[in-house]
Amino acid sequence: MPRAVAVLFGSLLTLACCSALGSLLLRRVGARLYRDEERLLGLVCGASLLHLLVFALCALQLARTGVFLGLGAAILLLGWRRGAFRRSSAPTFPALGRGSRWLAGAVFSAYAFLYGMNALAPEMSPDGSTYHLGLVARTLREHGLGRITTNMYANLPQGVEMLYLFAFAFGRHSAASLVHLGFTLALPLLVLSYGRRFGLPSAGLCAGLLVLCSPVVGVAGSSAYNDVAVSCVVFATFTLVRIWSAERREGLLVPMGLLAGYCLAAKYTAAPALLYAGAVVLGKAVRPGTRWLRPVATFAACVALMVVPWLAKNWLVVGNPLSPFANRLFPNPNVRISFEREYVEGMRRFGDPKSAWEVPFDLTVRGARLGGLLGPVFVLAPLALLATRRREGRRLLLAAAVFALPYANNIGTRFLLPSLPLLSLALALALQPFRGGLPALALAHAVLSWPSVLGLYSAPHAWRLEGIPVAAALGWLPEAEVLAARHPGYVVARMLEEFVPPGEKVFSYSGAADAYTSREILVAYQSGFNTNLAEFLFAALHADSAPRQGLRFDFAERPLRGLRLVQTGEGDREQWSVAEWRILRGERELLRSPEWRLRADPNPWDVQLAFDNSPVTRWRSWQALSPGMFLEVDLGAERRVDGALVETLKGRDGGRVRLYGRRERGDWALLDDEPRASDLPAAGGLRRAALEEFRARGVRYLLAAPHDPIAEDLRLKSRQWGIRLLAERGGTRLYAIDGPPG
Amino acid sequence: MLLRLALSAAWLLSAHGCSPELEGVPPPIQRSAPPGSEPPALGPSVQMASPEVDSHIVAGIPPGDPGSPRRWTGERPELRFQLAQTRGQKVFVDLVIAEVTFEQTGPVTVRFFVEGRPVGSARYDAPGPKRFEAAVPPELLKAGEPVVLAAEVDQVWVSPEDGARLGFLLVGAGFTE
Repeated sequence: MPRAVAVLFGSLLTLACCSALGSLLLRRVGARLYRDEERLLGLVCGASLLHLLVFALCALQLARTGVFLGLGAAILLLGWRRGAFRRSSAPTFPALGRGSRWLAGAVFSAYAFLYGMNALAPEMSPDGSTYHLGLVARTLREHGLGRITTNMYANLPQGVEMLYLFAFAFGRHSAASLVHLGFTLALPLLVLSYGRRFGLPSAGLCAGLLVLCSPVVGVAGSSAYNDVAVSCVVFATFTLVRIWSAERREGLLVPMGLLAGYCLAAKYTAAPALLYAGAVVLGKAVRPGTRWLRPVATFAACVALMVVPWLAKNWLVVGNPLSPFANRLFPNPNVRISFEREYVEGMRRFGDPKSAWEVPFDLTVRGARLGGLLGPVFVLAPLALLATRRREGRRLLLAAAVFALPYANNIGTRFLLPSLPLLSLALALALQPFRGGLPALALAHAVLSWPSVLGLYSAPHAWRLEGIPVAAALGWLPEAEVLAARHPGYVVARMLEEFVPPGEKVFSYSGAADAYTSREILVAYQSGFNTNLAEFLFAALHADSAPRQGLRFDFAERPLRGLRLVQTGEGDREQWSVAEWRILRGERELLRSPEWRLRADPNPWDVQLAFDNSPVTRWRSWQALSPGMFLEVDLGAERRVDGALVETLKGRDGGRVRLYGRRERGDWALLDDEPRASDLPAAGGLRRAALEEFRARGVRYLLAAPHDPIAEDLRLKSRQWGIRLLAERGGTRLYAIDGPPG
Repeated sequence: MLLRLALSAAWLLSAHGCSPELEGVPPPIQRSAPPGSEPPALGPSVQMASPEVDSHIVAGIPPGDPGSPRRWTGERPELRFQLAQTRGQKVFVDLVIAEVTFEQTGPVTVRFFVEGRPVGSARYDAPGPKRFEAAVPPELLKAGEPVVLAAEVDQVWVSPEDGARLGFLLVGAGFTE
């Protein structure tokens, strides 16, 4: 099948299934909507249902193209038989003015063409071609949601990606982008519908165009990101909440609950929409003397239907329902507490610290430092406060503020998208009294956001659409050729495909375009397992990361069943680590026996790293040291001992430690609280030792981009590492880790 | 279908076996003591096609494609090597005088240095593959430490386009007993 046909088939089948399911649902619950609303809200409600069906198939390991085809055919057949595609008898909105229709039609058509061509072109967006579609492709390969513990992005809810998976099965990468485009085009129409329903057609039209033309909406919404689809779900939820608040039709609680739950199932940062909807339902339904339990329970059950599968999957696979967040609440070996803290702090700053002036300027005009721009007309956003003079305005701004709450934790432009439709409506509402103001605003935004105009004032490397890639979109240029010329990550991915045998894992600091390779790439920061690998390399490279200090505990010889090393220090960021803990009798180390049992708190999963005799591994607390942390050895039976040696890094990661012991029966007793520190000789052969740990964990390939911290050392000291260069593409080198010498 | 569902659930639940924080774990397989020192980063000789070539280059050899059997040099390429012992060593350089440069430069003389001290020279009157070999006095060498070998060409080819200066094509170099 030609590429374009497959892409269109996959995306249109997905969107048609969403529409059919949504239409059936809305009719079933007796929603009384306008015809346009039926279509648009039906699409979004249907998306929530289709996502759930696809999730169920994945859980059953039935994620196969044939199964999806059967499901799609069944949904369409059911929809056809139940009249989902028949012309609705629902009332229509009063017609828009002729001028408005022309303006909106022209701008919508131009931008739909721009976005459509970009979506149809080979997918090469940074996140889309790495984890969004990388995970989708892997799910399809493995026919289900695998037990992935080495990629924290797999722990994010994938409500939109389930739709991508359905489309990807037929049309691969660009089909997913086109599904996203479907929501990108539906969102402004939904905003318009909202305005028309609530007596604000001009504001709705202007706001819809403000959303449609926003450069960040265009670049994200025409690729395999999920942000615009999430915004669409959030706004659809808000719309249904408003309609329900006005009509109190109980049947609406079902789609409302499904959409509110789907917000969280699509992206954690959309959770405020769920809270907002829940608060409105509770606030309006729970009144003295009313029968409130049934509506609240209906709403809650629908929310749970959407949310619980994702939380349960995370709980079962990575031990934390809210992974990769809330790791302090749900400690697990897959995402470190200290990593989460650093990650969130990094997202709060989004790179270098920025001044109060830089953030709004970059958000609206430059788009260089926060990942895209909303468009210069949003400099007028503060004027939206004028809308507070009207009740509708206050309602819009309150919801916008609630939906923007996660922005405090991630100041990337995309994270404002859930609030953008509401902010646009409020802005339009505020400017409505100015004659001609709204058309002028919409037209100015449409002109200023067109790629060729955008290039005149935005930052040179702003994340935005560059133009209309007609040749790439229509397949006049081969997909592989386009990707190879414009996407370095694709070239690296194909190198892995060529040189790494199937089933092998590749360690990397920078990653590659996962969506274009079936080899598993272990990116250093993406899980605890990967971080340990990076730590081993770091210890081999940097003398101060290898154990150079011994803490010697001495006490009178006695029989002991267990020993416990307890931390008494406290720190804000400093962690506690133990490279090796040796139990002594006389000057000899007790042979480590299989009967021994080792425990640690926190991070019990890595306790063996303090007992493996490797100079490059160490147990770490992976959170700030605090009193009560401990490592413990149960010797299996009483043994006579008189000392212990704890090997640590020199001058850091120590805190203050005490050694306790206990006999077969009895409580823990202090053995020594003033260990003697001494220097340890530098160990040699650390590079080979580090890669021995790699081999022991089944990792036999290293990928090094030119800017990676280890790239130069690998290049210059390949003999010392014991690695072989397999290939190089664009400066990124692929090495094989040789077997142990001789 | 029910069986598949049950198997899927069991497969997922298997993620939650016994918890190490409750039970404790035995000591792992003990790593053998590290070798004490790493193998030398440098060998006694290198071929340009070797993946280890970059670690031997000190100066005068621009980056080339990995695996390429020949690399262009500048006026004075320098490479470093590491020897296990110093007695009875001979230095060798395999090179090619390219026809394209020879047309402009004519015959060239290449002088060879070990640790900055001359160890010989050769005049090449025709293009083609060449090999230089000479004995090296042990006092010029140090075992276990990097030894720098340099070759200096008296005539270089100058690119009319970008002014790049090319000496000869290097195939391999180093020390042999």
